[in-house]
Amino acid sequence: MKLEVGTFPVHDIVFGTQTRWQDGVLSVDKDELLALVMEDPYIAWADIDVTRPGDSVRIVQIRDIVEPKVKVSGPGVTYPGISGRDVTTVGQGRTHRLGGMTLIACSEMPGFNPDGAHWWGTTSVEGRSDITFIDMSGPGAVTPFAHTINLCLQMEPHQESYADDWNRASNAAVLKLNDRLAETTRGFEPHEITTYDLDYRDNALPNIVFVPALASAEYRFGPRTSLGTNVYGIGRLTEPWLLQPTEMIDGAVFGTYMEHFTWPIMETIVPHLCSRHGQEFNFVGCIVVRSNWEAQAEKQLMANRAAQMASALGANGAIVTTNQRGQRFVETVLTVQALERVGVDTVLMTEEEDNENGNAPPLLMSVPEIVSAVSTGTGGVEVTFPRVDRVLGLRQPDPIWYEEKPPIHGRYGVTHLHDFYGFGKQGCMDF
Amino acid sequence: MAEAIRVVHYLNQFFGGMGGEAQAYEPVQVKPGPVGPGRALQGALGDQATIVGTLIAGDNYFTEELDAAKPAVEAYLDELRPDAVIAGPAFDAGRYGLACAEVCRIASARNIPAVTGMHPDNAGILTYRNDVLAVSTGTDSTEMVAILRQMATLALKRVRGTELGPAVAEGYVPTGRRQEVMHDKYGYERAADMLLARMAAKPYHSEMCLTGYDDVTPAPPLRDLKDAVIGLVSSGGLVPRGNRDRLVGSKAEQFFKYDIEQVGSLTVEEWESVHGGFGTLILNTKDPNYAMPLSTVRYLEDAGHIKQVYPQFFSTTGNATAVSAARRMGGEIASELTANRVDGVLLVAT
Repeated sequence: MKLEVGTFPVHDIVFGTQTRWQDGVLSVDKDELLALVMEDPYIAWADIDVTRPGDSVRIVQIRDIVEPKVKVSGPGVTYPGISGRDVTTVGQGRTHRLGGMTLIACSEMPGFNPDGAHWWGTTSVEGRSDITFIDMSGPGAVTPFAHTINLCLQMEPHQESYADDWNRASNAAVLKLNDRLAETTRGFEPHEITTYDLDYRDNALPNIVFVPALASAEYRFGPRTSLGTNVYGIGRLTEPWLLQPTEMIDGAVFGTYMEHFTWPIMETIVPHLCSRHGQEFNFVGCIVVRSNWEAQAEKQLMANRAAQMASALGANGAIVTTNQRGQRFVETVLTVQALERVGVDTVLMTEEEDNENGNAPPLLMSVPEIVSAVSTGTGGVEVTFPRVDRVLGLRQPDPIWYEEKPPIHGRYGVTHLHDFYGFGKQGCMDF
Repeated sequence: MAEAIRVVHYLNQFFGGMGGEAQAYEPVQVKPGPVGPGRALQGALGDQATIVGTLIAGDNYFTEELDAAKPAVEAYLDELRPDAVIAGPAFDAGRYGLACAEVCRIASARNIPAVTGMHPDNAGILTYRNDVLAVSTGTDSTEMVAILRQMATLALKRVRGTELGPAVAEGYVPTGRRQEVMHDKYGYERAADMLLARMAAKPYHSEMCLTGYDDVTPAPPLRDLKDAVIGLVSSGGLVPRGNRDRLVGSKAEQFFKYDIEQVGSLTVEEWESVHGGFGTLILNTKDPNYAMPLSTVRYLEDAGHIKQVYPQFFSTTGNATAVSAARRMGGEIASELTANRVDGVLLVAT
């Protein structure tokens, strides 16, 4: 597949009477955008704000983070399959992106689904949402989103909403804004065009695959759930998916598992591997392993199938990642093992567990086949997050959100960075 | 010039020049100054440190007569007052490696920096990984001089209080401690670089040394359940409804015991799960016995398939539990069960 990605840099976002991109400035007609969002009867309230690197701002209750993208030629739509979007195969033609910015959807999640299944975190004593926030300045401004200009879409559901329905509404709203904003670039020549020609292969180079294990929420919310990470809008447990890297860039994987976003897949690791395609290796495909199977045999089978796919693709090497530790890590580790056993050199890249001062090993489980691993740290950020002037994400943020926040000691279930794909330079080493 | 750093070197009978296996029962003894490889070590230390004495002991003596060997080493260290202790290197010699590790531990307990050298799979490392700073060696003792040089460098750094970098950069065997560093490159770049190196059979350094996993041997099966008292342990977050003990939904550090002597089956009126890591809808609205099948076990008891169900069950939440907390709770539960002559345990994983 061959995909051209045209970048329209965004150096600032300003509110105006027209929604348009010009000379690096994205002008936004707030009323127009809010009217689009409020078309959906599920949404009781919405507001839009802009925050820039260096602002004394904390973004909270983050539902998802996306880069505005639109297909200006070639089949399909970006972020396919989500909330009823077209499922035509993407990854070809030309995609325009607004570079240097993100769209962040924020809202509190309703606690329950109609069957009584509770959304993640609602029964935990320590809620994960308390540590999933983005500080735009200060020593805690360590996420990639502290360095982008962010358009925050803040929403509130009606009282009686259920988690799954609200998630669909939230996704639909953020993608409406995605379409409207990225659409402003249609008809203009991009500042920069990157061509990913994955049809070209150099037979002298080794072949590699990227194998992200992406957790399904089916075990908790049923096969038709929109919660969790989706592939072309499908969240259920399936055998591994084979996707072209350019499909990933067009947003074929979307959604968050808890607060683990797919932005880093689309915007960091896959484009990076694409940029080395044909130079140092041939990037021959992405194999998405769905995780959260309930039986050991199922986990093993999915690992075996992923390895079989890699073999069929002629892969010599693989990079395996996960997007949630705990039992999901079993599929991840078994996939590394299965790949190694069919002769594919495999690098595991992952966040790791709290070392507990030398008393605990770095990973939930290990196999002798893990011989090349990259650590992205524990997810902790051991600095104090200073008090902020402004909180974005909620209509009336609790005063506690403004206050200084203590350092976050990373461990399972406590990850501030959510860095499963190596977007940061932090990592743990053996001492 | 500051006074030279005082170093004590430890060697086994072979490197100490006493002989081979025939001398393996030689007790701990001291010789003044450097001995054998100690001369090369002194060369590596240069004028920065002086080997004030060499302790020598037979490999068998040290490992088999540990109760005598340890106080002897302690006494010599008190007498020689070293600023640093250097032991070995032991390469892949297991008994020697254990002795070197013991000597280092004795020194560390006295706040004397200690360095040894051995193969990462040496018994000394496998036994005392967390306690010992050891230069990583191969199995080839012809590398002795280079290894001694590395040991000298590390020992001098430790004496001077210089913070050590990662194991792979400093050349020591990982001690099990993980620490965060900032790399020059992003994780995804490092992953691609590492993969390219591996595929080209070039050297690379994995960022994780996957050790420290407990190797738990399963208990042998009970021969006859008819005579067995069975204990029930659940990590499913099961508590009497209302959760009077406030068992947490994740990151538990406590377990609780609940009386089930008069209970035939867990009901949703009386029991609930507070587990935060899975959907508890069925447990809490239909049947808590899925998380701990008391009703089934009672049936087996009534039918005489098992002798008795232990009158209390042990409950915690297995969700994001720290390894050290899990290890401690497991030990405490096991002690109580064994002290009360429980023959077997049904541990329901969730």
